[in-house]
Amino acid sequence: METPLYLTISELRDGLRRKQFSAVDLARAALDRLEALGGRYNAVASVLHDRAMREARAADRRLRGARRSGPLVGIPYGAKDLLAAAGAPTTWGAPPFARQVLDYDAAVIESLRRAGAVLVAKLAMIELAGGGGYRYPSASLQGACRNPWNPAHWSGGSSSGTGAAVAAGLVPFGIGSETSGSILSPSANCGVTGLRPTYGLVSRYGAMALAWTMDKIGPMCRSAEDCGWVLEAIAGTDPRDPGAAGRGFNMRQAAPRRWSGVRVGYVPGDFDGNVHPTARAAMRAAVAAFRSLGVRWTRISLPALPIDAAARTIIRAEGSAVFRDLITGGDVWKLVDRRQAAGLRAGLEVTAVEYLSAMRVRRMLQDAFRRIFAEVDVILAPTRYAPAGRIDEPLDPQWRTRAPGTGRRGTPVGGGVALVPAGNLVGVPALSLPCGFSTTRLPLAVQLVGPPFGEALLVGLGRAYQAITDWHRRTPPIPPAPRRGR
Amino acid sequence: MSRRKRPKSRARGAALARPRRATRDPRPAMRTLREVRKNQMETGEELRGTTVPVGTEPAFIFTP
Repeated sequence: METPLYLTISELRDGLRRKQFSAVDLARAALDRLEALGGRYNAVASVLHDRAMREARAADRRLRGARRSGPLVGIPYGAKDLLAAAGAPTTWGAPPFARQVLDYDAAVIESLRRAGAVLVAKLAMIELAGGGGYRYPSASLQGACRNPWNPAHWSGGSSSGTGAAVAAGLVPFGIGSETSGSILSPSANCGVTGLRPTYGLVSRYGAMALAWTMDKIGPMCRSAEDCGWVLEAIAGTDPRDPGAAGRGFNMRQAAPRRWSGVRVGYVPGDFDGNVHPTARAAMRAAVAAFRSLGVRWTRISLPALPIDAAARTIIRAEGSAVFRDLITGGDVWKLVDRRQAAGLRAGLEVTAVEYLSAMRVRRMLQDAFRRIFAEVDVILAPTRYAPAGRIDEPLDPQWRTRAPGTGRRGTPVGGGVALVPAGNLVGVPALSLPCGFSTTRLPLAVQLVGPPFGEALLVGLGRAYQAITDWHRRTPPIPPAPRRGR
Repeated sequence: MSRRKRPKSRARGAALARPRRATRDPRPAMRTLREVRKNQMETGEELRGTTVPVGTEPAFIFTP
């Protein structure tokens, strides 16, 4: 390992306390790596040199002055470019907002500054977080974000840059956002650990709104434990976000414990016939690892409801309301992806009755999840049912059932594949954990889904899984950056 | 004036570093909009085809 940026938060904290490196050293390492490698993956929206060095020097003063300091003091990180950072470009990944500069910090960036973390970069994203429904991975001001494990493949969306930057060791952790899969998908595709918090646990003040009844902000890190440390810093009430739940999160709640007796629900076929053939061996191994923890295994089924239709309708209606001026003014057609523009335009035509029908289906889904969580403590499922597709493949629904990279028809996906939109509609938390590689050498992941505010259980169980596996410690082969000035 | 050819390896490196836009949708905007509208109508029909029991009303402010 050539850079300290692949260390976990606990390891970085130890290094800072033992003076193996300073916060300024870490910030410089991150800035150098972002400059040298960020462009290779289209992962970076902007590099924040001055701010990073200012915050790093303040962190070093804090580390010198206090006998005990918080876990994030001096740790560099990157934030998805939908979060406002005072004075820096905040482009939302979209050409019509390429020159947007906001003069305040988003609540999560404020919280992380208070915790002593060092903001080094804004990270690339799918334009407007993909709310219109995009057709190509290239739907971004920064271009298609390449996967560090194989640059011919996509890093996933919409927190694409955060996933790629953490995987490539440009930053030790990053902040992403999820409306329906935008933390889980890039975390799985890039082999990093990502946490989608319960709706309302993390303030969205200063974040671009897409679908305000579904938007959530969360960490993408090296490990489940790291996700817990970052969540502890960013969770909490905020009167500036009307969706804030008034709850916090404390890592003490996720302390190690015995896992025998914990009820884990699964959908039959999810780790076998429902997943892509190139992923089955890794998925079976993940199940075996969880079984070795002594958990109780319980069959569940997702309710037969139009989950995808409800999620699409709510996101389309709320997103088109948010961007109404952009759409009616015509600038929506300046977006990179034509289907995304058309989706936002068509969203203005969703009727109030359709929107409310989707909200009623959502209520039925919430009731169904309450019944599921009366039977089990947590649900285990593949995060994605196939490895990352190629960056030049369209994301048409029929392509999701084909073998990635081959164009040949693959196994139709069934089982718990609707768990991502379902979990987002219901607002429950999920943790994506790397669980190995496909036979095509791309990362794979499983997700743990818990009841509302069940993050402690997810982080604790995720930490136990990562104590007996090392998939989260694997790093992609990164060819050296070309020398500057040539 | 003849243009000098770049060495092959450098050209490959440059292509990898540049944002790639080659995958832009080749179909006309209006055709894409028609497709999206058709898909949206089908989504609406799917929702209308779901029986929702009386009393299943969404909260005005969503809470998980």
